[in-house]
Amino acid sequence: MGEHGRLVGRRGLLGAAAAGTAAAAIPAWPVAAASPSRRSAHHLDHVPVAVPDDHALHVLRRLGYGPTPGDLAAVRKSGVARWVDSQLSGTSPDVHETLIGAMFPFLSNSPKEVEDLYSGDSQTAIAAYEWATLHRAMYSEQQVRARLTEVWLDHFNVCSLVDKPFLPWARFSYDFQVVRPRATGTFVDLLKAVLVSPAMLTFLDQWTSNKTYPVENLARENLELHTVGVGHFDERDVKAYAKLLTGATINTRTLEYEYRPELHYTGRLEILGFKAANRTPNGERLIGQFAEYLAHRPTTARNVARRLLVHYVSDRPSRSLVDRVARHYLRQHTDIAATLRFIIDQPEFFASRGKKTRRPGDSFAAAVRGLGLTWTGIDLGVATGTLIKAWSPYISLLRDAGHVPSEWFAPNGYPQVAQPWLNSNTTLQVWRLMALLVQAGNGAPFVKGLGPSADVWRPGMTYDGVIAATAQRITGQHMRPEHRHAIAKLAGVEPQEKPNLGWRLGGTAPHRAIEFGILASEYMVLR
Amino acid sequence: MKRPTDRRLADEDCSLTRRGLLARGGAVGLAALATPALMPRFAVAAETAGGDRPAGTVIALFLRGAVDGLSLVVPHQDRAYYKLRPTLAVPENRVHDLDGRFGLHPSLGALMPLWHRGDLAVVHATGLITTADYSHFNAQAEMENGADDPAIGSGWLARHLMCRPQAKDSLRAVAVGPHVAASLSGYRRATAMANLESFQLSMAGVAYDKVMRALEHLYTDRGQPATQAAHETFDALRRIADIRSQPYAPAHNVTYPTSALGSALLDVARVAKAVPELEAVTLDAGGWDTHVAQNAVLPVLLGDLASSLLAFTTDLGERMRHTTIVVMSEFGRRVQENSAGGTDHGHGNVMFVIGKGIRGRHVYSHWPGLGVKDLDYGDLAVTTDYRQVVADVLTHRLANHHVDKVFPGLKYHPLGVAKR
Repeated sequence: MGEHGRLVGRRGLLGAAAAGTAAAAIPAWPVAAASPSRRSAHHLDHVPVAVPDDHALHVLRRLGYGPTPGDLAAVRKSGVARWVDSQLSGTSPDVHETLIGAMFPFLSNSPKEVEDLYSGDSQTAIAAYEWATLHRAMYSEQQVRARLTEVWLDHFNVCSLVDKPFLPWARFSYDFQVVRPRATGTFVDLLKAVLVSPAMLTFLDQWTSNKTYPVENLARENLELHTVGVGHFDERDVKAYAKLLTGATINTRTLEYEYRPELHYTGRLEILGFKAANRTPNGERLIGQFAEYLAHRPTTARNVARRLLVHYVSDRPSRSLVDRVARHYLRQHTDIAATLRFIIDQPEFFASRGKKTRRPGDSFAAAVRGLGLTWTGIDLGVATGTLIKAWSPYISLLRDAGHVPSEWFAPNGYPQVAQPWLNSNTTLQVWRLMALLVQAGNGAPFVKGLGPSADVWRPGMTYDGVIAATAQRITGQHMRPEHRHAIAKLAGVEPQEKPNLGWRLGGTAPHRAIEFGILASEYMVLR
Repeated sequence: MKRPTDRRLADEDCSLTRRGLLARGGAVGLAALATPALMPRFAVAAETAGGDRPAGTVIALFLRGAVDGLSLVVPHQDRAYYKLRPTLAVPENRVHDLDGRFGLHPSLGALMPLWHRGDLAVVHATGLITTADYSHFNAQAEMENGADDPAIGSGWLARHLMCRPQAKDSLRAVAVGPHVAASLSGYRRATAMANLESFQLSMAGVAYDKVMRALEHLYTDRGQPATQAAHETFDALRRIADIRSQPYAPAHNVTYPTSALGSALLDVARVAKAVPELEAVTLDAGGWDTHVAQNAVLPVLLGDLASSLLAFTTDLGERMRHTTIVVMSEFGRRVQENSAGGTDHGHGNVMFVIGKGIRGRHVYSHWPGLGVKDLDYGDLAVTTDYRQVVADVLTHRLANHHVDKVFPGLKYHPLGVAKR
């Protein structure tokens, strides 16, 4: 109970002053309802709508962001195991990532270059970054990597909106250069890279620390959230770790990481059993050594295992499952891909079909994929004001729903369990998002084409048949008759009547109503 | 982490069912807990909870990130304060003096009219008496749960509502923000609302009520949490549409700050005036984790806090007789400033209690002092459990005589913050 309680309960906001005009747009983040009780676990055991015994659908929804119209057939054809292998091995060319690089070239630049490019206009830069992140969820061929990146960005959260020096500039390379390339590598490499990333160094104030007054923020959160977890360290560990980290700072001219020995505390240190004489001011290698030590602690293994399991299996993974995965993580020398593959191989993984609740960002990506919305070629090139205007209604609704990439203030990242998202506000804002999506035309940012409700039509089909086929297309699931009936009513059509030939052209109010009804239904809530 | 010494303490009335089940710990019992149909069993009989008397409204404003209480309410006669805060201390001649010992930060001037009217009470050296660590997350969770035992599984405001006569109004408890605050966790009908304006649903070409009806028929799996959330959303949508449709002009031509907090309080005022059944509101203000450059950050935030609260209380006017605002934060900040012009995580802190039903114009404090021997590992010690402050409000402003149910294990010693 205790351990899980921490995970669930840790949804605080240490708000930090939001920068400039961005502040007005940012809701004050609450601590989401934290219930470490077993309520949610029970709720999630109750499968609401038929969840077919469909492993292809399961991996597409759970490991990625949901099926596109062609996905299910493709995964069934290649076989689930092979799809998972190809996704995890990362050997297939990542065409989408190349395109993302072309669309948002500045995002992989150094913090200094991005700052210069945007001459301080952080709002535009953040908007571009957020869309780039959503773009991956919607369109990346490397769906598993895209989702794993999201998991780690939550685990090692850095908010782009807080008023800290060098943010948001440092936040972009944090994603593109620090976290994403290591998302399927080893946890120890990821941890080492995060610790000396300008984004984390500024977000948790480490760059201001020195031997006289060691700032504890990074040391504390790194132990509490990123590695061993609460209850597995004490205040002496925090203080000693803060001293160990002194010297790691940011070069204020280049905005890159820099080690400055004159800031480093020297003298014996002991942290969680790790001992260092620490005699010389050059303590840089100690950071890496201690990260190695931390990453291999059994407590860290369980914390990382739990993070992955909560995302990929259950809001309340069993202790035995956590222990099994933690052992594997250690056996595999903190290898993330190997650990995830092990999770997929556990019976609990397939048994948990349809038992995770989508967060608003998941729902958005799943809807775009289900609708088969593609994106316009004019996205290519540096993001312009016009494009940002086209994205902004979607981002704005996600913000009202409480889930925009990189906007969670606190170092603990967005909640991964269902309960905080099962409330009237999130529910409503996701419905609004769906209403907006079905009205997408063929301008930026989306190309809709005929839309699924027109696309599925075959001669002789009734409206009920159209609704059933559209639901199958969008959700990958069979929709029950009473739900099809409600959607027919919403669309103002008689289920047993047949649409005329014009139906295949799409774009009418009943088309949109059918698509909206499916997207806003219970069938889209789970993954 | 400490546990309540006697779990049976709460084993009666509303808590009985749940505690009993938890103690047994059987899977069936635990599953039953989750069933919404059982939730009303938390409720005590109306007569023991104060009859049909309408409860007051409590507004819990949480300053997330640990506000520096020593800057909010400055102990300007304490030499140690000036010694440990060489660059951050507020000079004695700049504070708004309250009682010769304490003074409000210069940027909190907008609160002084409330102070002079007796509508503002300050509690100092308060907070979590049990805090074992300096984690924002643990401290917020513990404070919002109102218990240091995470197994309690619900928030203090939720338990307060369960101990009151049950009402079905979807706007009985409102959490301003994208999620339901932890203090309301466990109260199923709490409505989360990012803001009034965006709380509406429309779809081009289809009438609003038709969309609602269709959605109601699309969420039919009663046992499913998403279904519950959907149906609560339908209720809330109807109520909030009514509120939005009424034009609103704040009383006395008050202008709210355009900040996130000012806008949120304006929305709360609209709801409070339209919904007599409103009993609990949670809202948040962030930005207080001032590890760095505190003196550049705090004045702006404090100015906003004070003018937002002044606008709200002026707008509510006489309604403040039945409305109590409790301002709290997870812990205070270390007395000794750090090298970055900021302060690190500390312990003791300040609370504000605001309303016309409180005994204001007084600083409630067993001031422990800031001398070397007085400090609690370098921090201002906590001499008043924050729950005692809330318990006063519960008992005397919210007609809840079950403090033991809201705060199991608390030995309630009235402070006298609330009028009887």
